[in-house]
Amino acid sequence: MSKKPPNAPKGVDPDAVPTEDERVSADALRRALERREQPAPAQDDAALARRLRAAWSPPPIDPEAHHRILAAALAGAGADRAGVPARRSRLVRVAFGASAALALAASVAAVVRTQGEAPAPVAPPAAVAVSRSTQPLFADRFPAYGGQTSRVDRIALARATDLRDNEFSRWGIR
Amino acid sequence: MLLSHVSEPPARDETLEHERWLVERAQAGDREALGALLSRHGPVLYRSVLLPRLGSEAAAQDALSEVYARVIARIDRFVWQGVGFWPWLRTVGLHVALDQLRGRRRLVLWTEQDVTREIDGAAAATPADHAFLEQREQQDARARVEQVLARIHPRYAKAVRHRVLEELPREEAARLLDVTPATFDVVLHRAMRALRKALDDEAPDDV
Repeated sequence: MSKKPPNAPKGVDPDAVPTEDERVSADALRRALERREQPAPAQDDAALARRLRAAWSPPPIDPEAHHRILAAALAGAGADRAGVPARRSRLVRVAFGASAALALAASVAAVVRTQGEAPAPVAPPAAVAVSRSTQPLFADRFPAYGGQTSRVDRIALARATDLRDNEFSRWGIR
Repeated sequence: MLLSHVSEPPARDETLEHERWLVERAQAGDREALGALLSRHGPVLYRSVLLPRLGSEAAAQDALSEVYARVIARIDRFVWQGVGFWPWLRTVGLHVALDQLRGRRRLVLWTEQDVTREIDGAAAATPADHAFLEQREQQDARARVEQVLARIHPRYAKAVRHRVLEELPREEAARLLDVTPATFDVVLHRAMRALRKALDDEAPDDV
């Protein structure tokens, strides 16, 4: 059953008679795909299959998992990312009563601050690239003639990267 | 309850203006507004950016946690540029994904170089609705998969496409390759091995 397309890599025969090792590995992959379980670390084939599927048709995040992640993040930097409630979050209960003679009418719980009394920490500004010599971009001496365009390209590329990095720093991405 | 008072847009606009309003409130310290922003964009970021690049739900969820932590710490430095919150969040997400990819050398469809290029291109953002953004991200992700598949024998690529990507039953995939199911298993295993080799060969070219 040779179906060799014109652009097939040389020396590769997908339908060659399998070795015993190949049969065992093929069977392990079949089982892993049928079970749809998290592959064991040694199951590289199955792990790669999962990665391909994740890229091709990624499923949405489980809403509960997302809620846990978001709640943990909002609860504060010290919270466990896996979803343990923040230790430092403070729950303030506000009670409303009509009079001393009446029973407590209602209570409202609200998270008013997640990180104690201190304001939210502000990340220190990241260092930015500054104007400087282009000499470090060139290790070798310039030839007597030619190469100007490639040197200008190299400088432009390096400075464009600096500019991008500076913008990301300014926007707080780094 | 957490997001109750920001769930309704303030009347006149429900898209960019509302988002700008949320951003301003978030920058003023309103965690609920920040929660509303992240609730809106976070699941999209997870599905269309983090999960395809990182390849596992656990890694993508971990990355999403890190993205949220960075956003919360740095929201005051976000500068509104008229294109919404998404481009900034996506760039933060790409940086987090890049950090995770730096620790890996195998079995990744996106290399550090790929993600770095995406970060470079992230500045050219325009306002767009979520459906369009997701669709575009998915197209890019699928193009990346096709790019990898193009590096192996077409028959291997066909086996992967039918069984792994389209998730056809084993028997159906075997029928499409005109082989028995047992033979198909072997072809698929060889296809995955060839794919791993192609990805491994790509790794030394990384940054």
